[in-house]
Amino acid sequence: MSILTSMAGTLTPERTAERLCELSADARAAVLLDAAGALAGAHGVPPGRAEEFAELARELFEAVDRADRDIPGGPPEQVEAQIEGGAVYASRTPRWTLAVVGRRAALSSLMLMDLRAVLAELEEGRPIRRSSAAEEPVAAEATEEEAAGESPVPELGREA
Amino acid sequence: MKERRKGPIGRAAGIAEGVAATVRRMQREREPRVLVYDETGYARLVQPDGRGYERLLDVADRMVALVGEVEAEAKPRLGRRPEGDDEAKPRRARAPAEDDDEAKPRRARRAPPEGDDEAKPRRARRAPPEGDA
Repeated sequence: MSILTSMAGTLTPERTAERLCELSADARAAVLLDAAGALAGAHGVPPGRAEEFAELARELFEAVDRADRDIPGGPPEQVEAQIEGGAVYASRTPRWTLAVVGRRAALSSLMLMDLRAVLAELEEGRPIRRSSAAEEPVAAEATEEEAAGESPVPELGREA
Repeated sequence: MKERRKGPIGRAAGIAEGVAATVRRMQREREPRVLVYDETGYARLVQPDGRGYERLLDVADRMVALVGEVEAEAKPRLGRRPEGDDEAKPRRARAPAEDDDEAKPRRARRAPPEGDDEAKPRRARRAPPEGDA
């Protein structure tokens, strides 16, 4: 099994949204806001519409804070909204807010974990460990003669 | 444990129950919902009659719509073939060209030759002469 480890401290705010979209196959577009609510980076939307996307992410947490008055428990850090055409996930820390539009079929727990992991990488430089499937040992290269005699049906194969 | 039905009626009822359950599940999954999570990861469902629910859904809807628009705009650009791509032309060439002589003999074969009397009774059946009635 091979483990790919990113270099610590290399994630910049400008690249954070892109990093999230790389990490999660179900992420369609993402936006990062700083503590003041200003756009820090976006991915999946053209630069001309990134500010509009950031404004919607700001509005999302404003609405969450308004709804939170009726909800028991601590202040929400993450929000998930499932609607017909897709899903919106957002996570915030005291310094950053990261919001993503995902596919409707996305697994909420995975998407929220990815959001937290990317924010942790941005804030603390904590690298995200990604694992890939173990590769089978490659057999010796077959010669053309062997390949020609090989048949998917064992009964029809060349007799040794 | 679920009791297993026997016989064709029981099997059909089982299939119908499965289909109904799938439809119900799909409808439930399509329903909009909003959840908020606190710092410990504890999830709370925002009730549809709760404060801010409508606004949350509205904002989420606008975000999804924006991304959908961007993707829709990007798709035709990605799908456009570069100019001078000759591989696309054979498909368009299916329509008969002006100098395409292959299609004409087929039509000529189908059309009855002039002076062919066998074709006339067919026409007479569709539109009878005025004096017939």
